[in-house]
Amino acid sequence: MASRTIHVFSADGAWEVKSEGRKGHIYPTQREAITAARQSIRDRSVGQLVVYGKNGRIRERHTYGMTRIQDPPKRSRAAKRISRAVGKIALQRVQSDSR
Amino acid sequence: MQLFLRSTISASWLAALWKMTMPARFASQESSGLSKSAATGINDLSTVTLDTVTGLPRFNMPLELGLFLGCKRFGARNQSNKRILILDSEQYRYRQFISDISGQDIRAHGGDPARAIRAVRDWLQATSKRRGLAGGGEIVEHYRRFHAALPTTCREAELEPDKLTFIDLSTVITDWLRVNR
Repeated sequence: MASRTIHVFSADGAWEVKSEGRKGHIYPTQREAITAARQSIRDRSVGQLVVYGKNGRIRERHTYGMTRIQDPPKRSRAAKRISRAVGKIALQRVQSDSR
Repeated sequence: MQLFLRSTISASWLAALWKMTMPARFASQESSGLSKSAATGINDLSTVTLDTVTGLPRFNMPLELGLFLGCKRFGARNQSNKRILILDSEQYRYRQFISDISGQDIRAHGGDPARAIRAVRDWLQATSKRRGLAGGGEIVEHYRRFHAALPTTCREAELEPDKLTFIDLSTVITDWLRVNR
C-alpha cells in the first residue's frame, strides 16, 4: 500500500520531498520543496503533507482530500511529548527508507 | 455518537476510525450521558471476562449496552433512531450470559483485531453512508504498522506502552495517523 503522506525535511543543506516506499527528490530551498510536494499531492488528488523544520520537529501539517483526523476527546498531559515522538520516529523512518 | 470499545489498543484504534467517520457526533462523557447523547454505538462483549483478583465477571460492557438499548427503547422519539453494532469473540457466546439481546446485530471477531476492524469499518460505512472511507485492508495495514511503532514511540515520549491511559493512547493514534497515512 503506497503511503499518501509526503514528508519535506532538511537533507544535507538542501530539502528532500519523500514518501515512504518512493524515491525522494532534492530541492535547494524549503519553499521549492513544499511547492513540489503540494503539486505531487494535487496530481494524486489526495494526500497529507508534513513539513519538518531544520531541528527535525514538525512545523506544518496539511491534509488534502482525506478525512481530517480530529483531536482526542480530552487533551493528554503528554500531548507535546507524544507529538514530538511521533514526528521524530516518522522522520527517522522516512529518512532511513533507501528507495 | 457513542463508543463503548475502550479497553484494548485495537479498540482505541477503532475509536479513531469511528471519529474519522462521524466526527461531529463524538462526545466524551460518562456512560449514561453518552448513552443518551450518542446516535450510534459500538459495544464489544468480548471484554466480559472474569476478574483475575475477585473471580467476578466484569460487566461494564453489558451495563453500557443495556443503557444504550434502554435509551433507544424508552427514550424520546429521536432516541429510537440510535444504531448499535455489537461485537463478541464468538458468534453465539452471548447466549450463555446475555441471551435477551438476541435479535440485535451481533458480529464475531474471533479475538482478531483485523476482523474487528473490518466489521466496524463496514458497519460505519453502511451506517454513515459516508464516501471515501478507507478499505478494511488499508486500515488493518495502518493498525499493523502503528502497533509495530508503538513501543518505540512510547519510549521516545517517556510513556509505558502497557500502561497508557485511553487519552494518551488516543493521542498517540491520532498523531500517528496525521503523519503516517
